[in-house]
Amino acid sequence: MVEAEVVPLENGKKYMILDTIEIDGIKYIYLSQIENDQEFCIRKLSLDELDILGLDSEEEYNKALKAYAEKEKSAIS
Amino acid sequence: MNSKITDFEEYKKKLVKSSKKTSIKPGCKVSNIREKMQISKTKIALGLGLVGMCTSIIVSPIVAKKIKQNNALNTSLDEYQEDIVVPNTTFFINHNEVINHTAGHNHKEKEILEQLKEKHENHLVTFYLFYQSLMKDEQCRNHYKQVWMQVYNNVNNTDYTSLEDFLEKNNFGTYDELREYVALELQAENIREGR
Repeated sequence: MVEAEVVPLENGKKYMILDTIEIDGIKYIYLSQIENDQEFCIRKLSLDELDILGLDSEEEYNKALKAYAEKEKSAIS
Repeated sequence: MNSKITDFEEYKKKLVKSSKKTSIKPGCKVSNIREKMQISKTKIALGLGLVGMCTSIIVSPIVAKKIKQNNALNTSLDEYQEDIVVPNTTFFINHNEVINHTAGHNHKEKEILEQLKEKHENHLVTFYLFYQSLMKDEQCRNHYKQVWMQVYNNVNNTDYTSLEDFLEKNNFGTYDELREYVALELQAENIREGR
């Protein structure tokens, strides 16, 4: 077992934080639902990091996912 | 076999669709209140694996160009193949024997395939690693249709007639596209398995 950070989202479900990546000054967090391994999502932090915000568009979603792939690639190769 | 691939691809598409639905919520705001929780490594690896799977279908076209410019990934892929295939077989030493065998009766190729299938659920990955390794041998290159392509078909209950046929039936435009796909899938596998 390892200690992980968990946050509740607006649907009342808890998500563990898998990773955080900063893109253009915005921190994106990669979340996996605790009760359902098959569900993950990406959110971003407000600038003061007090709030977790929904993404604005599919383009932003793809950008955040791309950043994850690149981080993953550089870690493995 | 093809229905299995379709199921897997469908599963990934559903995963992405669901993830987008939960992620894209303009104007949605919740307090960033975090708590610590003890979670199993397996659960974390599964979560990371899901993200990895989604990157392989969404990000692939975006990062493909970068992969071509960066030999690091290709190098790691080659090293990966060496690790997986070469130490556990005597194929290259005995390639003449292999070529002289009738298709479907060579156990070394079958062993290689079975070994790869055990390690990789995705048959596209298995095919690539199998093909790439055997193609390093010139005689195999000349005889692959007659020998190991048929071995592959026998083991997998498929009817591919050539590499081109395999690419076409699995919706790859070129061999490089398959290579890029496999590189990303192997990364996702590594993450899923916590390597």
